[in-house]
Amino acid sequence: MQTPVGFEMGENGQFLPGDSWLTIIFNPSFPYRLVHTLLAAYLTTAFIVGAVSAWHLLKNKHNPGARKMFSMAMWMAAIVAPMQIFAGDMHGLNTLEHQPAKVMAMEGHYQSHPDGAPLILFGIPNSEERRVDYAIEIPNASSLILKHDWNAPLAGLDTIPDENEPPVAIVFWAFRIMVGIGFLMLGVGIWSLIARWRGKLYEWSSLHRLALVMGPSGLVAVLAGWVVTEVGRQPFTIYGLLRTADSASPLDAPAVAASLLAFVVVYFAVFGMGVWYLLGLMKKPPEAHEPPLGHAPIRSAGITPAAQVLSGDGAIGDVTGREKA
Amino acid sequence: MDLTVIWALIIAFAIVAYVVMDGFDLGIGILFPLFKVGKDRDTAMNSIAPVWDGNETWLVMGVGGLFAAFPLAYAIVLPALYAPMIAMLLGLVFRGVAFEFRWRDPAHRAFWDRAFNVGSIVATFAQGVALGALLQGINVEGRSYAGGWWDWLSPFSILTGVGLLVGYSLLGACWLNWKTEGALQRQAVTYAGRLCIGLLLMIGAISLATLTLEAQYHTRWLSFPGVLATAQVPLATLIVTVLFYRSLRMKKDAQPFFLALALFGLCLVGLGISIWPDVVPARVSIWEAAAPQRSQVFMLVGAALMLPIILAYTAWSYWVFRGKVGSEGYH
Repeated sequence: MQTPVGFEMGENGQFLPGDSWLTIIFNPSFPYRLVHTLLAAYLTTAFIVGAVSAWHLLKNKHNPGARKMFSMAMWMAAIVAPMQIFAGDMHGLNTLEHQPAKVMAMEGHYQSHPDGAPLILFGIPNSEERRVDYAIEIPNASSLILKHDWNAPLAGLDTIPDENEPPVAIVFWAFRIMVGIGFLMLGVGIWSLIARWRGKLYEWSSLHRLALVMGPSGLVAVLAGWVVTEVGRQPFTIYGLLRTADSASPLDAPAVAASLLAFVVVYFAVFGMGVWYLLGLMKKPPEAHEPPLGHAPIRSAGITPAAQVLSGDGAIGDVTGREKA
Repeated sequence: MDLTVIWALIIAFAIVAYVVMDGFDLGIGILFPLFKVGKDRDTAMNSIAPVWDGNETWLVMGVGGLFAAFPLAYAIVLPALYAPMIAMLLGLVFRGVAFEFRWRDPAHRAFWDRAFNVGSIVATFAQGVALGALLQGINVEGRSYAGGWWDWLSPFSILTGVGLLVGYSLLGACWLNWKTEGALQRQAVTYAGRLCIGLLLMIGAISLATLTLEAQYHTRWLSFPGVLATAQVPLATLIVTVLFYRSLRMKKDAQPFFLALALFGLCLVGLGISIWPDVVPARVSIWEAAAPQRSQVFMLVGAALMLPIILAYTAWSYWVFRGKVGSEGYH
């Protein structure tokens, strides 16, 4: 729906599949999105594993389990972070081709730059005045990144009709959060290579502290990237063809508001508890030959606690069961 | 047979599979607080732990299939049933995590037991209400839903909601009769006997109320000579009921469960008589709502590959966990 192809328009304005569904699935941005998202998932996992092991290394740098975890996570960071930055750049070029307005919002380019566009590192997008306030820029660098030419002209949001313009500030900031975290991840990867080379991978406590802080960074980056791509495609749900306002279902606003509120409350409660239990699991240092998890069944592994129930050990809150056992 | 009918049958199959498989584990959730804390509750939960989340595959398949194969019906029905659908999903969230969390956090077991119970009740009631709201008629104008967001609530939909609570509880009790032993099994048999009477009363009330809803239902069921065929459904219901009580008295393990499922099957046959071939009852037929043929073919290839695989691994997991829970240790 970001780069829709291979469809036909029905008489009643319905989108119908064209000759082949394969054209629709393998649409122009599909490979870039898949690779970028997949690498993001690997990096997110690597940094969570890295943070857990870093925490245990800070407490006991000799724990062999924590060492192995940290080493694996840091290899992942060192190898995948640069791959991800490269894949992100490729995805950006693809977006420039198919959704230029999104890239203009990401870059904060309200105006066109016929003689090479600057790369705005930071600044405050000002949609009223159509400029970025307090901008820190590298002249012509944006043209270099997007067109691979210092002086290539780049169109700005002034070439897009106002009613087709995405909300600039959200896209601008979310993009900087994502890219900033990406380069921080690269930094951790490079630092870990230096530490490895100097034989200090398990001793360098400031590296461990940084890895600990970076634990949730992948999750934040994934969410920020999601915001970039979804807010950046506004005001369309099917890019360029169906506007978001036209695709809403015939539901009254209070119904949608009430359900959203209910989901927020339930998810915070349930995920809050879930995260709490996860942190409890992460707190335990890794051991060789992990003991079975107490009396709890590992249902995901397809094992029933039948034997425990039979012996009475597994019964929770069952006073009589314990006495018998 | 055209592709639209094939897809209607696939979705009908998904709904049947869902009711057959998720019904009993929701029922155990509904009955849960009646079981003794400790071994009885653990056994009841363990009897469904290996299979319950696979059972919900069919819910995803039914709704996902509706979206893909009958997009117009999806666009009309989901806004109409928005509140019960959201309530069902939230109920399933609580119920789903309770399976894991009550073991991980024994200090809060009472809370997660309650979550399991309330989640199951809400999900079941919402499904029953959704069915009732669908049957009583949805306000359609042109190609979209034209009603408000409280239209689903009516005495009839509450009746179907309660009916489904009773029905799933019966399935749950029969499942426990099959899968457990001792005091818990005896308790389940007692419940099964009472719940079957309750279910028959509910089926009777809902059937009579349905006849008054739409002229189409009335004609389908009561006009001559069709009545000679449709009268077989209540007759079969009576026969199955007699067999059910006989099997309970003879202390059969599995038979009552399958006879209770047969009662559900007869209800679904009755539903089919009332609404076929409509996907939004008395409003939109399956052909009006169908996706274009290219989509139907494309998805049929996927369904033809995936359905046998899903059925095979589902059957295998039931086979692996066959027999009484807690009597044979690890299988």
